[in-house]
Amino acid sequence: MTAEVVATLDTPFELDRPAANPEARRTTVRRSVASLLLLAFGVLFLAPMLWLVSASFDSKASWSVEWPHFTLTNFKQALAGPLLHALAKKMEVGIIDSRP
Amino acid sequence: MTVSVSPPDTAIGRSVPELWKTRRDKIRFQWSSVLLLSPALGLLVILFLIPIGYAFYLGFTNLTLVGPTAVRWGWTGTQNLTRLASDTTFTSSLWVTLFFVVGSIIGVVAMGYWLSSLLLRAQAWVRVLVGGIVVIAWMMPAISAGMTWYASTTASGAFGTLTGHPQADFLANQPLLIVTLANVWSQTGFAMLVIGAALRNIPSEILEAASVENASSWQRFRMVVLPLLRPTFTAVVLIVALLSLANFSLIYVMTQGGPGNATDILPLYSYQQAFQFNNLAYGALIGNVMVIIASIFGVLYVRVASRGAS
Repeated sequence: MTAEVVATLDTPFELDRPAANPEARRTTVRRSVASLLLLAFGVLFLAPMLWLVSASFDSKASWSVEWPHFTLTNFKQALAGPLLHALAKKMEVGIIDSRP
Repeated sequence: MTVSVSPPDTAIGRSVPELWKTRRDKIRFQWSSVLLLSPALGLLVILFLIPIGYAFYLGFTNLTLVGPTAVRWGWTGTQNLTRLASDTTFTSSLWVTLFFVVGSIIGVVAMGYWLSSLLLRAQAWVRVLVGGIVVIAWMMPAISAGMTWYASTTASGAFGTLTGHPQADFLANQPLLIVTLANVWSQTGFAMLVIGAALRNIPSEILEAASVENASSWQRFRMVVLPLLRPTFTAVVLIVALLSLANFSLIYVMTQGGPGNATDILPLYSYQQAFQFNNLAYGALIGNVMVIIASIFGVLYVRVASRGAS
């Protein structure tokens, strides 16, 4: 009687441990393989974007991918330019416009 | 003893057989609906039928951008058509378009299915990271995508540097393949989201039942997943076909149709004839060929979509 109770209490913990349960272990392996494959695809999809990021921080940006001569000038120009001003104005109009 | 069955009278006093004459399994038409539909019809005619009809008319004239026929132009009958039939650049442009569109469809659907089925199984942080990257690639405007792919595939670009051959110029060596890959890269996110949503809607009981009956993973894909996803796949194929056929800006930014005519898809060739060689009428005719090809895909899409709704 007591042995049975112990067994039913033990089984769930045994099932949770991957090493004890071949089904759970297979699921873990499958998850890891899927994650690794996905990460490889992620690197492939990210590779073309390298230039987009590196060139934006580069003071001597060209078409080639290289370690940037670090600068924030491009971002400062974009933030100070008429583009952001127009966006701010547009949002202002939108907020005033949407008042009840 | 004979029992005569008389039709029961209805509330409005007509017998049932009389009502049976009105078919209820077909769409009925009332002429008064024309009046109510006329504003929408007017918009369709003004914004859609008249411009397309005018473009078709222009295709059969001798209108040019500059020169005497820019002012005094007129109907020339089938003259442009005979020119089109003997135009080898147009024939090669058709083949280039076919490769570009079919390659994009195969690439986008395969990558979309593969990524979405992997996403279902992967760990949560990988799902968010890789899914995010692929969706960002999809959301990028065609101009930016073209510029990033141009920078990545020319000499000293990211692909050359990462594979250890910094001076390899992939874009010059395999222009059509690279341009198709760039298109696949920028549209896979869409297919991944749509196919992923459909995959998540497949009840797991069906897949479990297939596993219980000892079906291999290929059999589960072929016999269970594929039939259930067929409407989704069809919709994705047709949408990707239409988007790729009209993807002018990506190729224009990357190669402008060159080198030679290696990546000269129909929209680019139409633009070149109309605005670089000044043959507006001939460019319009090539555009019309494109409209016909696109409308075949469009009609197919509408038919598939309406079949799914009923």
